[in-house]
Amino acid sequence: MKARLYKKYRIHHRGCLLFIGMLLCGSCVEEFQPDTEFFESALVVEAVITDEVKEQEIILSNTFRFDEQEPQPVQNANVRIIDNEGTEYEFDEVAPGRYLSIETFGAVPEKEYTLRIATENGTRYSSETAQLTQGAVVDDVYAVATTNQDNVEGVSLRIDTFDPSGNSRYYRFEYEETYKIIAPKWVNVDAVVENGVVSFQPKTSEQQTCYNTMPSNKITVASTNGQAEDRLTGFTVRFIEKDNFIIAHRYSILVHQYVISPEAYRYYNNLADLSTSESIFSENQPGFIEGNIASANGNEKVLGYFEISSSSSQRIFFNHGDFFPDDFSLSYPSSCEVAAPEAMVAVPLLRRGGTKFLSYNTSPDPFEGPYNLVERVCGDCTVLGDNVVPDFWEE
Amino acid sequence: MGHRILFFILFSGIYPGHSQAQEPRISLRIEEGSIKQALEKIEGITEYRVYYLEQWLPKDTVSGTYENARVSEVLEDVLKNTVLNFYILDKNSIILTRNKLIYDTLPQSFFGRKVQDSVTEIFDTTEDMDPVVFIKENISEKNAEIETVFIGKETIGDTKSKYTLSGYVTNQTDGKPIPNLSIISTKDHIGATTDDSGFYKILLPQGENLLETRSLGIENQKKRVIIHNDGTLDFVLDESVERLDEVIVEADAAKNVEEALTGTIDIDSEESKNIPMVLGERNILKAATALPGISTAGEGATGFNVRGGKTDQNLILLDNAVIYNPTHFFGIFQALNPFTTKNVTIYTGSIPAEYGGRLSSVFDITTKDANVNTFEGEASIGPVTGNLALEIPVIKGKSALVLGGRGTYSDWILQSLDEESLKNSKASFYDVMAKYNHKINAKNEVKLNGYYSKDQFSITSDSLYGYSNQVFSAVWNHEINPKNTGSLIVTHSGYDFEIGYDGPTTTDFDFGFGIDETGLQLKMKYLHGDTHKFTYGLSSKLYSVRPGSIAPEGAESNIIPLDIATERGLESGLFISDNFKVSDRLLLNIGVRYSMFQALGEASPKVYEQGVPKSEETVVDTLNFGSGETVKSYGGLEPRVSARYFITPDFSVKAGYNRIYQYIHTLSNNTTASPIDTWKLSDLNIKPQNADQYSLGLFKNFKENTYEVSLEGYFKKIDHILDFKTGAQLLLNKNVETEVLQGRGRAYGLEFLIRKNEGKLNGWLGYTYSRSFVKLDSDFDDEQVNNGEYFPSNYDKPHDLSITANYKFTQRFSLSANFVYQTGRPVTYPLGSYRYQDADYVFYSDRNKYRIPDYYRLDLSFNVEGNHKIKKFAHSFWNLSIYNVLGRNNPYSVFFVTENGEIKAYQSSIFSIPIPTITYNFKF
Repeated sequence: MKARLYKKYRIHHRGCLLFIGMLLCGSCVEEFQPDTEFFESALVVEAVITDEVKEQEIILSNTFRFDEQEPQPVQNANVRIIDNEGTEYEFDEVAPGRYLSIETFGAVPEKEYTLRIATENGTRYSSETAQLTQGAVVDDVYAVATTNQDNVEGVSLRIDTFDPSGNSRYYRFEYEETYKIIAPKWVNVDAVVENGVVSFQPKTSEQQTCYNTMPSNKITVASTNGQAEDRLTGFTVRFIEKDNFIIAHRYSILVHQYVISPEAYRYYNNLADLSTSESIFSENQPGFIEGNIASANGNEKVLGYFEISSSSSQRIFFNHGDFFPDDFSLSYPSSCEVAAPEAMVAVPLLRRGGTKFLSYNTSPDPFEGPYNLVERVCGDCTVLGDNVVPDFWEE
Repeated sequence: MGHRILFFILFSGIYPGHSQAQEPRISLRIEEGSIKQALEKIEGITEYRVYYLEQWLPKDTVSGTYENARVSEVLEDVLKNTVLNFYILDKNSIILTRNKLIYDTLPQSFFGRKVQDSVTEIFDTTEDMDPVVFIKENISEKNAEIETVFIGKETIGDTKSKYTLSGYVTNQTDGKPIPNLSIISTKDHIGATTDDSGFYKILLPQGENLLETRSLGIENQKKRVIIHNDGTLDFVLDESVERLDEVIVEADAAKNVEEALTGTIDIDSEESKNIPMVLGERNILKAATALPGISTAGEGATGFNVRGGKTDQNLILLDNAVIYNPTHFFGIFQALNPFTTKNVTIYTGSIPAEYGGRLSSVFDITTKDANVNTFEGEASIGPVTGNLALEIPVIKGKSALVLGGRGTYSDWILQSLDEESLKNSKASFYDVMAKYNHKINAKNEVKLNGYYSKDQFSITSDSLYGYSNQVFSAVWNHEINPKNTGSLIVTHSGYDFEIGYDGPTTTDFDFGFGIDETGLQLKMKYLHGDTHKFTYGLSSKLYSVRPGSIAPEGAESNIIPLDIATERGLESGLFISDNFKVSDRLLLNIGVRYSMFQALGEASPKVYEQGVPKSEETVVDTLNFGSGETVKSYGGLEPRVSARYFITPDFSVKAGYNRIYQYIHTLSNNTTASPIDTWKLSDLNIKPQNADQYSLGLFKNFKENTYEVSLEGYFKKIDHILDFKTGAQLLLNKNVETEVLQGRGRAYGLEFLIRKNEGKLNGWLGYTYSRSFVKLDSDFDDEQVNNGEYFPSNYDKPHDLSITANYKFTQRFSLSANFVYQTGRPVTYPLGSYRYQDADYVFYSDRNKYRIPDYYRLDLSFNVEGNHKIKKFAHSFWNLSIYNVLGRNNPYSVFFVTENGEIKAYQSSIFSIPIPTITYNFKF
């Protein structure tokens, strides 16, 4: 309900004239490289404990500079969850910064949980107590061919959920999407260069059909507060444009629903608000979003929220043809143009592996070489995914 | 007029009225004839021609029989009861003059420039006319020598040392009175201001005085007045050649040094037309921001920050009624019709006791009174708006109506653009106004004013925003007796906005907010004497705020209608102030206002546990109040004191102190104000804000007010200033007090202004150094900002320099320029990034630690006035302006977003390229 105006008017509107046209052209939004001079290190805690009985996971990292790509994991920390009955659930570091509970457990409604962390340098952190919010399970996940608000055709992945008891009210969604990739210019042979000599060998690994799985990277929360029923109908979790290659063949999504507390909802909602595009004219006042974890000495800021939630999930599959039976465009990240460079160019290209052999160039033009080559991604799907069929995959 | 008369300016010398020898002797008989007839008779029987201006002649009749009398004797007798003197120049010429004669009333237009228009014959200077200086018509009268007026005859035994001079000042063009014009005696720094009817009264010391008139848009005139008795002197002033090209924004020159109030600014709408503005739209409010003390957070920010105050701390009045948002389109355009707006007076320092309810300033916007005699109109065509204003006499000489309308035609332009993304946008606005002024008689006057504005815009295709202002006021001015006058004022103002959301799912809604206030005010003035002038009265207004309602849009929408209960409150004030002239040097303005506020039922406020942060969990009780019951009362005494002391006649020092309470606040968690910020009344849980301001200033005028220099300093302290928790949900929140933080504000600054009001090159330079801080402290972390320390406010811009200059090549062509430099405003900048749930986010810590790059901008405009022939049907005005000539990409804000899990840092600017515009205005 905020004035999210001019979301879309980035940089490229400089050429037009007349009033609003002029205003918008006159106004512009440019990306810039942010300063790192103010950098401050702080602990980041990712802790989502669900009612599912499993090895619960907690990830600890540090804040990082804008010019760095990856966060530094926080290693060798002592991580435990304590409930109000005094039971301690200890966590072990299984990978740098990734801690798993030694024993499997799931959150139960009656108990209150506290997260305790002690880092290597002795700083102690503790969360406020958190309780499980019991709630609805996913009713249905389904895909609908539709257009988004910018009138772009695509597939909307939606969820229905309903809690007759009205307890749930606040939801958070995550998903993992898996899609089939078929390399459009795949052939069963590879041109192998050894000592400058090109030989042809049958491919030794699967390079035609691959699968890739990506987690959601966006905070999606919903609330039924202010609505007659604790019901979400057709809530869009994900929208995929029709020409996105991930739905060119077959696609699957696993939607996780977490029923969260009002405080957690507020935390995520603030985070989402502050990290989405603002109006040119008015911008939300940014600031530190207080979570429910604090350092024992009270001086250090801690990022993240200790969430105890009830989770449920559902997976669906669909094919491109299910929604767009007349569309055979088979989008792909590369246009896969074919080139036949001269041999002295083609051979090093093949040797370095950036290109794949497609076919012989039977009638080369002047300045053309003997082989038709394509970008590697067009002949080898492993650039984009994994060539092993996932366990859950259904054709 | 058909007269053979000259325009001349008398040399203030003494010369014999009838010294000429060899006059013919004549015989004639005049019976109840006019003086004109008498003079014609003399012309008929002698060689003389008599040169005079017909309107000099009184309507009295004369009679007389002369036998063989000298011409001079006859004339002496004929003119004995007039103010006229004569001078027999030579054998053929007699010149009538006015000099050294007693008169109680001067005819209207006595010294008007019309005199000049009527000249049909030019008298060449001859050697023997030494005592009289004749000025040729083509000499610009602006810098002409100063006319001398003699009031009263010097008499022996004159004991009074001071005499009263009074009269009316009228506009030559339309005959309307000119109010708020200052008449100053430059020698002694005695001043007077004309009232609404153009009347003034000034007490002058005996002898020679140099009077000077000063007003916005009105030619400055000087007259040397030699006074020996009480008398009257009317001024007929031209809107003047100066208007074309002279000072654009002008605080009254004498007022500057003279009045006791500090920090007042006057801007005339007409005068602001030369200032280059975005897309050529005249904007007096933006012009105000070029003067020290008034700024905005940025080009796209609604509202003003006055002396380190928040945007909701300005009392903006349109003909006495509050106008909540006087701007269109995010503050870029003013929502006031420039043709019907007369001027705005802004009080930033000493706020007179009659105003209350907002901490930082008063913007008192006045609409023009219509011309009661002739039909007039004005229209303009610019790239953004079309604009029309009409003045229609209703009862000739008594009442008239002003109608103004203004609208954009941008919508069809958007529709006709090929650019797909722009087709989804919509932006339109209009404003209309009507004002009726009726002078019932000399003692009663009624003015009715109505105003409506509407904005609509939509930038994404799924939501439509709209807001509107409604303003109504009725004023009855009544003169009880010459010492006591009063005004009874009824006002009604409303502001509302709505958001329509039409998304793809079940969440479609319509949201609406509205605020109304109805007020009654009685303002009395009592002129006790020269030393005491009292203003007193009372005011009361009833607020009604609809904080918001939401309704499902369409059958599929799952939104349940929600309506947050209407809030009511009654704000009242009792005030009295005295303009007390302690001595010639010391002037005090002592005022006090008692301000009160009652939050009224029907309401169900919550009571929160003491000593813990307010939240839904800490509610201990919910109270219930019936309709009209008082939920909570607040009030306080507001001293308003200021003083002026003349160190020398053109150099004064002023000091002031005020305290103000404010009971209405905007709720906004944006860094800059926006038109969809809601207003909230103080209640059980939200305390009123209050401010104390101390100011001190030095004011000096040079070269007879050609240059004005001022240096003002202030310190301001605000208690219970409103701020909000990060990510506060303010719309449709039943417990909005749980999101509110109330802290302290502190602001101080030094403002320097030098202004040149006259000459080919005129304009001003203002420099302000100011700071503004906020402190939000609490025992609880989530109610603290920056660890409870003072931090710079969102509009803290320490250095602010602005230069506005106007150069006139000829009377028709002029070039104007603006230059602005400001420190970049503070922004909250992230300290780094972090990864959370497979996406990167930025990590903010302390608020407003960083600043966006400094702001500077140069604008130019070239103005062409149509020629000034009086008979011409329409008077036209072309303006060619370029905003941001340097194409400086001034950052307006920086923001960080997470897109596809990655952080993107963006910097936005509103007008990053030069924007040229042509506008055409014409008057008829």
